[in-house]
Amino acid sequence: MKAKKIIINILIILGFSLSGMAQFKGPSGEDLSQNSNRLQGKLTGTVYNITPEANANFFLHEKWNDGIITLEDNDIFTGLKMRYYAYGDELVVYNEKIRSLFIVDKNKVNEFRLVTSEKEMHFIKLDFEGYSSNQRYFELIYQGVNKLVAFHFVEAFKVSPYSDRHGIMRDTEYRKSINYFMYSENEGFFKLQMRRRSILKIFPDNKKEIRKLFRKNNLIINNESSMIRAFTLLEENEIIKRP
Amino acid sequence: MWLTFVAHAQTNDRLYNLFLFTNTDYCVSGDTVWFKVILQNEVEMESNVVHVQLDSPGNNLIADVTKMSSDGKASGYIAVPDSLSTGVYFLTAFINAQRNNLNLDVNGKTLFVYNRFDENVTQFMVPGLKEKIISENLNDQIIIKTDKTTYSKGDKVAVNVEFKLPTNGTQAIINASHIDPLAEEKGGIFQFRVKQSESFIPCFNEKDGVLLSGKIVDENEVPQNGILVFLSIPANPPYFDYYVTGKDGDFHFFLKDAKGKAGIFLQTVSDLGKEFSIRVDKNYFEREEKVQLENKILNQKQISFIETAINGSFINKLFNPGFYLQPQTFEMPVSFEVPFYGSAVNRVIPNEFYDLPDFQEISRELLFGVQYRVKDNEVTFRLLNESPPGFFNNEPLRLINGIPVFKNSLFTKLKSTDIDFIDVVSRERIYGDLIFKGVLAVSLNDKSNGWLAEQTNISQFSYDCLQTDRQLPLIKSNGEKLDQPDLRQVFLWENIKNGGAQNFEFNLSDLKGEVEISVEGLTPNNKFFKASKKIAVE
Repeated sequence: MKAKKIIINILIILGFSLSGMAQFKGPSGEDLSQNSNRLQGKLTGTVYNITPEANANFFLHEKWNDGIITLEDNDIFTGLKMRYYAYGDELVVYNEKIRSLFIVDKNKVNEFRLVTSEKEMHFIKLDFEGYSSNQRYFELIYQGVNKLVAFHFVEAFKVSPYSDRHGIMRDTEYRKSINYFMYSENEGFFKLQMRRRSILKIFPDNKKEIRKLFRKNNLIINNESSMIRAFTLLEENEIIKRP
Repeated sequence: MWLTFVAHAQTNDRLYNLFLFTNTDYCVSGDTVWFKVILQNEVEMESNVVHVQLDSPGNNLIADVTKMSSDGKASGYIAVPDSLSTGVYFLTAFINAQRNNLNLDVNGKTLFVYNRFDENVTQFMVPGLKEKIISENLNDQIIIKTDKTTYSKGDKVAVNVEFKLPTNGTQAIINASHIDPLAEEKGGIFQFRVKQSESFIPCFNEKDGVLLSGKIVDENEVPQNGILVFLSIPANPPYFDYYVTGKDGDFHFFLKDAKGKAGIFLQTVSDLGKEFSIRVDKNYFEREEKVQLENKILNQKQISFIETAINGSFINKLFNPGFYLQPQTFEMPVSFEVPFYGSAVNRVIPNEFYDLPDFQEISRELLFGVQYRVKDNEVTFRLLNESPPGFFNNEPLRLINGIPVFKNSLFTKLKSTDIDFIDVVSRERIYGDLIFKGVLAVSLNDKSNGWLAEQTNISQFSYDCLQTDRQLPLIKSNGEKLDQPDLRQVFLWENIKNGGAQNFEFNLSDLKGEVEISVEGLTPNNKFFKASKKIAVE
């Protein structure tokens, strides 16, 4: 299994350097074979040229994950190698047939799943109001009456100049962060923190009830699983009501 | 009697059952026959497109339609060609997923067609009885009552239908129509073993769309393997797809949600300098053996009925010229708002600027990042890449009205007044396994695509996709005096509810003869049933 992963990584790296070779050369198509035929539809996007800096810093995961993409027209693409590009909120897929990386057209994606070594992550696309680009990928952590979603991103911080392990001068560090939201189709996004107070703020009319409920269930909110448990309790006790 | 069809086959451990009912078992050439198909065993979950074909005993395809089903039912119509010779023909229904089966037995029902110019039909080639299937009669479980047994022309007929069948899951259709004595005697359901019309058509589950298949051959009719084929449908945004041909030179495209008659462009993409022929093939089944026919001398009743039918059809066409061919319209809902080539980085509308005399001037003055070069009378294009910055080394995908173009001289003479808009995509785009080094898409004001005459290896086809919905016209008269002859032959044709007693009524037309009121359908166990009652019109 490990050997297989190494081979895949080598192939992908090879692919980066060869990506310029696979192309549509006017009247040609000799790079294509019948394996390129897919009657249900094609995945589209823009070629992505990865740099070592991006490879090291801009993605949610270090390795390429197995993944599934479902488009807005319910066409499902399986058996993909992909990574979530957290620095720009995009999905990058490796097309092994033509040895190219590309950013999948976000306006066509409905959802995607990444299978990492730890867990399967389910991302959905939602309209995030108040930003120039309205559509963002969120990890779906809990699906109930409302959704609990996480927005994974990478931030750049200016730091004192330093030499990296290759001896190259750097003045920027990249850090991964997560913003949590409660999402309701009617009311939009409510930002959350992994604290009880954050939930109480969203339901100001039910503060006393929620405190009592959490106390009764010995619930301390300090991570994703406790947040999921909190949302489950809120729904079971009809503090979050079904429409 | 109705035309009834049952097709079943064991495929991949799945039993496909398609039951087809038609509103009549005879017609005059130029008429339209209406059908309803019931799908069983959750086939619809995977494949909801039904093919209905009309063919001759000699295996010649006469007409075919594809119809999408909903809730396990599909209904549509098939236009019988005006020039079709008098004779017996067969209606067959199938789904493409049945192609997996090597030994597929389907049942087809006869359609007796009388050419409208035939004046004296006294004998007829009818099918032998060897393969005929006798339907189960359930007159004792479905009781059909009428207020009288003999009526005058134009009378109102009151019908009461009482089901004594298990109600759960029973599907049924009620029909009242004139009986053709010849079709009643010699027609029916026949079972045939079929083979595929074109063995290369894949066993593909058609879900919400229709498969378009064809072949690429060279000048010696040799199938061409590994040739890239482009399909384009000009629209806004344009539709595009590609296929690399198989060993039989075959190509296939799935047109999802495409309804009506599509104007499609197919082109081969090759730098071999060869010219290819592009063929689009019909998707249908052929019987392994031709149907054995025998000559029958008609009796007076049968001869009179045929004469009446032909005369009636002639008069009917005079007053109701509507001929229900597949409409010429085409609709294909856009799955995504952006074109297949991606969002334009720059959209230029030349009309907003001074008029420019040719595309070189347009490129120079209006199109940022587009290089138009002429060397040795050869025109080349290069687009600026956004990331990493710099011009691409290869030509972009060039489109005119959404159709890929490989002859750059076609752009040369384009004036700004010819052009609606120009999209420039300064990015390296991926479509499936194709990479485009940028895209230059020109949309002309003139959408007739006359410029195609200068391109080789491209052909335009008109392709019937899914049939659009229509209602059977003039099926009921409200009893008022019409200002034209009432020559309806079908009076009732609708799905009915399961079980209980139900009442129907209809007005007869000006035609005399026997009318059969029948209820046909399927039990929950997929067993075909029929009950009927005849009334006389004098």
